[in-house]
Amino acid sequence: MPSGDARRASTWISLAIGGFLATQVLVPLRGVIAPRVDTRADFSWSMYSHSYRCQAKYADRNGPFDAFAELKRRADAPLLLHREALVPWHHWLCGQHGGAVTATVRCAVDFAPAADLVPPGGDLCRLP
Amino acid sequence: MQAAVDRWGAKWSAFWFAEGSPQALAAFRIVFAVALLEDLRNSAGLCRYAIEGGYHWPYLSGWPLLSPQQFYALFAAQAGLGFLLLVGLRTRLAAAGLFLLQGWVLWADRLNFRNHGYLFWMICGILAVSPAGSALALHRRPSASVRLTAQRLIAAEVTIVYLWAAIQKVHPAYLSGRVLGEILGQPDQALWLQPAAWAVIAVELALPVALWVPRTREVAALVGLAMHAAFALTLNIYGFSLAMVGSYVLFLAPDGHLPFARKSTPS
Repeated sequence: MPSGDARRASTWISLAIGGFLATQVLVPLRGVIAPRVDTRADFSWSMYSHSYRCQAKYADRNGPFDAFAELKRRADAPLLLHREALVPWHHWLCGQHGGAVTATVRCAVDFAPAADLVPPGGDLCRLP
Repeated sequence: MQAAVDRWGAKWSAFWFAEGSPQALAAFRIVFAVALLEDLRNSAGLCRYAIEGGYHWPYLSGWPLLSPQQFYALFAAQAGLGFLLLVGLRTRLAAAGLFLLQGWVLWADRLNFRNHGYLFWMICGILAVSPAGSALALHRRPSASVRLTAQRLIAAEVTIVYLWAAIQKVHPAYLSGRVLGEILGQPDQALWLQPAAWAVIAVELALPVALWVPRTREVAALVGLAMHAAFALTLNIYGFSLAMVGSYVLFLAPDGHLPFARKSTPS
């Protein structure tokens, strides 16, 4: 018969195990439910499961520029072309380019028709 | 009702708190350490967004970023800790250190995210509170019996990874073979791509069950080994593949006893 302390310890360990497993089962659900143009769905074990074909063109007052040059210098360009990733990214770009950045970002996920991730040609710095 | 709860609780305890040999977990620890060391070079290249400067997309605002010197020192420290994990010196401390350092990089910036790194981080966390250094280790005599909780937990995690990886692939583009063709750099729709795509999904769906069933676990391990060998050779995924294949020992020796080491365990 386990002692009270041992039983309490086992209860806490059981709760930790249950919580861990529930997290591991539930968190990846987002990667299945949410549209892939909206989220990269981190923590969902989606490696090598989807195809992304994206085109992104950015321009500021001086004309077109390579928006990803700074990122590519640091490491392999990360998969940024999802709506949730583009919001903070565009906010940063607007700061870097003094406002008035326009873009066309289109992605076809899993060979579906391409979708616009931002209003085509619109001023990103005026988006909410 | 109470009887059912008690029965279920007893089964839960019998599974998670069973006692057995630490040998299987220790064997996994060794293979995992090799996989982690192999992955470090990759990871150091892909995770440089943890270095301060330029654009960042943090999971948690205020998470400290690293200077370039700190970043490379952190990876050098991981190599040292990985070696300790490999040989079984200060195993828990090494795993805890790896958990902290890998976690720092993982959580520093969302641009760093890699599923492989996420798995490695979680396994380091489990090993940090496990008796993985109680066998096949340099610094101490092996223990005869330990709780198998960590062994079961890593096996459960591997099961979940396979299951979700399979579910993520069940969509028309993958089933047609086109996604696999693109990943493998085969833009022309080769005839073998569709059967290969179906085979990957079938294996990833079957392994979570077959690895747990005594009658099928050995065949499952061989099939999984073949699949990961294919991943390693075609996609250059070495560390992750090795870690996943290394985990099969946890299924093949559910009581923790390695067949060839059974007699050497002290009583």
